[in-house]
Amino acid sequence: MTTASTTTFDPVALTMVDNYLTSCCRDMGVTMMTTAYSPIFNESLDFSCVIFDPQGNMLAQAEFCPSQIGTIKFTVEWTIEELGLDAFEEGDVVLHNDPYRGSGHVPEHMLLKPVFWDGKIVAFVANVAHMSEVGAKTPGGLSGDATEVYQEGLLLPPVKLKRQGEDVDDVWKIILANHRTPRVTLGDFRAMMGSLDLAERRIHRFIADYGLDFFLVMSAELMAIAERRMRAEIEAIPDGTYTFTDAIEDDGITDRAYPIKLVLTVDGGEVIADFTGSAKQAVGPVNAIYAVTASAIYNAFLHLTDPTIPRNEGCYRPLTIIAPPGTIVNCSFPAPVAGGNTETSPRITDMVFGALQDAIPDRIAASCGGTSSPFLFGGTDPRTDEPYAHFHFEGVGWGGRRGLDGNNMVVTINGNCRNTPVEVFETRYPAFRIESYRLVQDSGGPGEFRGGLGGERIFTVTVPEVTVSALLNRMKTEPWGVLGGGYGAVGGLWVRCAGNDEWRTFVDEFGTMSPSKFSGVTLRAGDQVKILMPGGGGYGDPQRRDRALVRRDVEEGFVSEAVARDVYGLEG
Amino acid sequence: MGEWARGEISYLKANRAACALCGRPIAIRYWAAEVGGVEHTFCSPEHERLYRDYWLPRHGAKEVSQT
Repeated sequence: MTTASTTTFDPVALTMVDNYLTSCCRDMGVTMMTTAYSPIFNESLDFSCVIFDPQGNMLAQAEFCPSQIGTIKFTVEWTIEELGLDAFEEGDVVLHNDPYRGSGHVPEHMLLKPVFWDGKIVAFVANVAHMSEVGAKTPGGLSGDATEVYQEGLLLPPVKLKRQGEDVDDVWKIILANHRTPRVTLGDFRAMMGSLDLAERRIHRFIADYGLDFFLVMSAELMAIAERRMRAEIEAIPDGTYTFTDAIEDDGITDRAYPIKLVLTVDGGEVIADFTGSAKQAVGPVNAIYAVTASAIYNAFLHLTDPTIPRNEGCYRPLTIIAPPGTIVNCSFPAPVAGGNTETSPRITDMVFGALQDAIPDRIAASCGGTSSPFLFGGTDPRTDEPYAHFHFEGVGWGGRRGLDGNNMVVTINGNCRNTPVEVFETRYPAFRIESYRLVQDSGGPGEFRGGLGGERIFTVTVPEVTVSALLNRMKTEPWGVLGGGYGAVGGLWVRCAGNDEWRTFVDEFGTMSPSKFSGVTLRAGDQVKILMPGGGGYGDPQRRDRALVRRDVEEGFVSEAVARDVYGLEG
Repeated sequence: MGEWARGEISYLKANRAACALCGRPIAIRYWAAEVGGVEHTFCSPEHERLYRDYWLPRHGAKEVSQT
């Protein structure tokens, strides 16, 4: 559906409105960052903040977590449709985290608040955030060997957490009784509510200053502009059918790969992303639900197109995603889904780049490290006797792209989150001492534009015992290069129990089904864990890389002398 | 020619209908249309059109949900 405007709008005014709404979303995020209890909010910024119109169309967003920005559209649409507009009252806050009703995965909790003006709903403000504890089978959720969504935490269909400004105590009691860290959950939810209140005040101020009609008309026009500009960007891609196949290497339960097949059809200003032929849904938790798969496609096209296009619903209208139910890209209830959002999502986004590498070589990138490296842990703090739980994730190397090397050790392309500084990690969580945290030489895929480097972290258990879980990928299959670029290095996960000299896999030491996807393993004081994060794929023939850059890579320790000589052809 | 229809939310029945073209789970409102003598559920009239113009020529009459 193309929306055509018949009125001429002042472009300066449109820009100002877009900037106002976007900065409102940014300030919502700052509120959450500065007032939440958990480091996953304060440090990692694993959340997103969005404004919608009364029909559930996304008006504005800020630059937080791309996978959430795409999925929240589905979460909000579902919530409004299930409850009905008439069910919303001024001061309500609705909570929702059910993946089978449009949420990304169980840990991501969405709060939605209607904004009223003269007794009518004129907008919705919403945020979605990854809660660090969700009442799953193991602390922190994301259980790497879950076989049902029920094992991944407390499922909450759209329910009111506040009604007309008052807490709904019964719902709070259920949630706080099911999370291992109720104090942190309470603090983080309060931060999310404060963020919504701020957005509500900003929208009220805007309407008071400029009028409701101006707000509604400009909002609609901004979506129409975004749609037109996105269609124009897509029209610049040669019409045709482009294919790419990749796979999720295993699922934590069975040692088999799950292929994902993508056929992209570009026709004028529209794209169809068709996943027909992809593997049936996995037994373990690497399945994506429809909203995650769609979000990954949205994310890819936001990377490929003009970043000045207003980020709203209009950007998504030219994109159609076909994801057969019952497959790894659109699993059916009650399949586990935790890793769909952390592992399968970046794979899908990368696959769009792989498919389009010959069509638009100036815009795509090689594969990133492709895993959020989820490492979960929890227990009881011996200093305070308080329970704690944390979702720890790591950066990876990003793929090289025309003119630029890939980023080193940045959280994967669907996340856009920050890492947790060592000092914060050790202060907040008594379980571990970080022994080392470093980039790994030669982990970036060779290329004219090199893949970003992966990294390595080693930490030592400092408490009597701690429960850990993992859900990592790209441990077996290397991140691919493009247009002659080489593969990035794979990652890994090992444990060295106190008193032993040898690093061993969790399979060898604890009998887990998978070396990188498991849950509920107990580590004890003195045990050590080593996580190796994958590098990014290279772009273009490494022999064409600027010789000065190869020498700089050797001087910096990014590339060894042997690889510089044998792969890059550096002489002397 | 199809028409808009409404399903029901039931917390006793977890499996949900999905769009015959794209596979998206349907909350309540859907577009009901007959294609080839079979009643189908779609997200929207646009997806009925794509089912006819894109899906059938490439994949045949097999529904997305049956692949």
